[in-house]
Amino acid sequence: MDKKPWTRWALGLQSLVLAFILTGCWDQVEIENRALVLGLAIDEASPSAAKLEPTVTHQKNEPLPKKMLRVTAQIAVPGRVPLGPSSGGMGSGGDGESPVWVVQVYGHSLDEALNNLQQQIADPRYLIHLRVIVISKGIAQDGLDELNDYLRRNPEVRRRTWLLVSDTEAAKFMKVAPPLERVPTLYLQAMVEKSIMMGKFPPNYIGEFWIEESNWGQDGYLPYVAIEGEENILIKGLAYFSGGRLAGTSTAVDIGAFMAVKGYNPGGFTALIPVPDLGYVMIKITERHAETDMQIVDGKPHVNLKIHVEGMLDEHYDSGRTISSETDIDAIEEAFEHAATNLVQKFCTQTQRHHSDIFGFGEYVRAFYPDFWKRNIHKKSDWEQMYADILISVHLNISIRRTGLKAK
Amino acid sequence: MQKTQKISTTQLAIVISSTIFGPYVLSFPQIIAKAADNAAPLMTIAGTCCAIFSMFVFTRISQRFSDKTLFSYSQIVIGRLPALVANLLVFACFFITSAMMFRQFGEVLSTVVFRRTPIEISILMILILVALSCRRDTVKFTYVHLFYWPFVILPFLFVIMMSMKAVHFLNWLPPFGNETPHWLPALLSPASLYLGSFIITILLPITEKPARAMKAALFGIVVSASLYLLLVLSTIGIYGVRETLQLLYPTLEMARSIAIGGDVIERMDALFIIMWVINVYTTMFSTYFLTSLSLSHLLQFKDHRLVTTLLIPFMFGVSLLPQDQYQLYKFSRIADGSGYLFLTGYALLLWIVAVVRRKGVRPHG
Repeated sequence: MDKKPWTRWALGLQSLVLAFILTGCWDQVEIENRALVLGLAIDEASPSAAKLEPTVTHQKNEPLPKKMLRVTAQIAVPGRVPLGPSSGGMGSGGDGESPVWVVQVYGHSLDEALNNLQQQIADPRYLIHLRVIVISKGIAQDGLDELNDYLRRNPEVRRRTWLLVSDTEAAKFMKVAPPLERVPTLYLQAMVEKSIMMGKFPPNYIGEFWIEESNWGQDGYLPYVAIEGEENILIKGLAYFSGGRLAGTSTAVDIGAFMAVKGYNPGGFTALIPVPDLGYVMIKITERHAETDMQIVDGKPHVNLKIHVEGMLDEHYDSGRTISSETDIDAIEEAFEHAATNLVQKFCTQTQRHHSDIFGFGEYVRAFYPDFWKRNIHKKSDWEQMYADILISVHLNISIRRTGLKAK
Repeated sequence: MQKTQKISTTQLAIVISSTIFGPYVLSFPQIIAKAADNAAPLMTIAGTCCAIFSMFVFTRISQRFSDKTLFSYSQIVIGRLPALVANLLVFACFFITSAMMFRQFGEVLSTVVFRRTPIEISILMILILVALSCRRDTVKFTYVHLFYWPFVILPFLFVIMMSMKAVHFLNWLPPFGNETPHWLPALLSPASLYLGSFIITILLPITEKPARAMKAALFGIVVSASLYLLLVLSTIGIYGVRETLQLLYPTLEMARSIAIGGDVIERMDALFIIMWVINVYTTMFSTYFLTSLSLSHLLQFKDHRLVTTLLIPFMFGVSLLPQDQYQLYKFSRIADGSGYLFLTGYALLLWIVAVVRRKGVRPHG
């Protein structure tokens, strides 16, 4: 190439300019022109709600399922969502205006409701920043097929979104505004994510839930939340599923039992137990280690759980004696082991009664006893049936290493 | 064609590995999980062995005629007319598979990133890009591959490494699967991933030391195969077979679910797709190159550049033929599988005939 230098420069410049012009034109949308949905709450609505629904996606008298949903969406208002830590004074947009806009729509399915929603708001809706979906217990009991299908298909939805089951009306969660966070759904999200950090909840995003629900030897579970008082949000327990439908809910302490069985770390639960002769003690769990041993005994799966937890003494009261020797620690350990074994055993029995194998014991059978699995399990519900009468034995021990700063 | 410059054995290996590691990375785990259940990693290895066998045949026959491409020496081995027919089939095979891959590329972009951009534009863009690059000779072709190779390999390694911590070992078990694999698709789908290894039949004449080409070919296949295997292991390990079956692009889902630096950086899918475009580009580059080279030989042109440009509208037209996603994947599967069988069979035939009729020179002899 023996072109003159200036021709080269001109060509170079031209290609640079072209590169700028040729970048994605079709899909460009300014951020102010997007309706960013931050959170969704889904409640069941009475069939009569069909009258409230605008006819957007179907004709008036189309034969459609009776089931109706009421979807409450929290949409970020551009410019009002505070970015970064709030400076607490001027200029942070804190003039009493809410950073979010709550919209309520009805529909036969989530997608339909969101289409109805689109009909009511000017900007195109985007689910790319959807962080939390709250569903009411009733929706969960009806099964999440339709919901999961839509969320799986939509490439905007993250696998790290949270799906929560609420014990009251889900829409309320879109309105509570705790003082710690300016955006309600972000608080809800922080609530769950921080409890993971503190070892109070397993990292069970919607993606994980889908995996559990897909596996034949496992059932899904979701955080079960409630609103306490005006605007306190409480993680109440686990909502566990069987056959794709909500089968039952647990208490918060059962989350600890569940996490112990699965060996999730860090340990975060603290247990209050009475110890004979020593009054009451509180034991804080710092680490959990678990081993699941699966065997087939007499044509029946037998699970041997070996759980080891590390703990420390957090509080001790209501007794004349002080804790001052190894034997005292041994007594506390024994009392804890007894109580915790009982708790785990009871929780296992509860899930067995509801045919919901949230521990994934079935996956162990599938992995280690493929012949047995092939003979007996032909669909997911086969394992759910079998799970109800497998044998689960729990061996739990604790090592208490530290007792805090108090010497006696 | 320029014959003065030659490429080294390492360069040959790199071209082969970047050619093989192609657009199927996104959907392959799902395809193999569907065919082989939990035995997916094992079947991937088995399929790779089949591909290595084909590669062995391609290399051996080409080494017998180390100064000619397949299109020339096939005429010496089996005669002009049969060779013409067979080479026409080779052309058809690469033409159809390339067109289908262009379409698949467009489908991914339209589904995931550019949801409003017409699919025709996405296809046309990459098509023109590939066609323009194909106007160069084989040596420059090699250099392009050489340059992009790190971009083809590294992003995938990165995604795999980042997501390895989410692997549940139970998902890998039992290694032989809970269901009996569907043998034919379970073997063919991984084997046909390596269709591009046919490129060695046109690269061998310009390699410096044709005798060492076998090593290069093996190295190229092993690098890409281990990446494919890692991909299958990580997707199956993370999602389990049942969930993988539900995902159209499991690898993309993996990129979507990783979070780096305390969840600050999430949603790597856009970035990942950009790197994937390079990956598609290198593979399409090779298959398009093969397509245009085979056609120019059929038409007895001295230069393949004219053919390269002429092919654009036809390639574009055929890529738009499938009516929907399911049809597209069905077509591609059939095209890839039968293409693999045909190419291996053809090369095997050539080799056997060449040995029997004592055509060409025996390597190492």
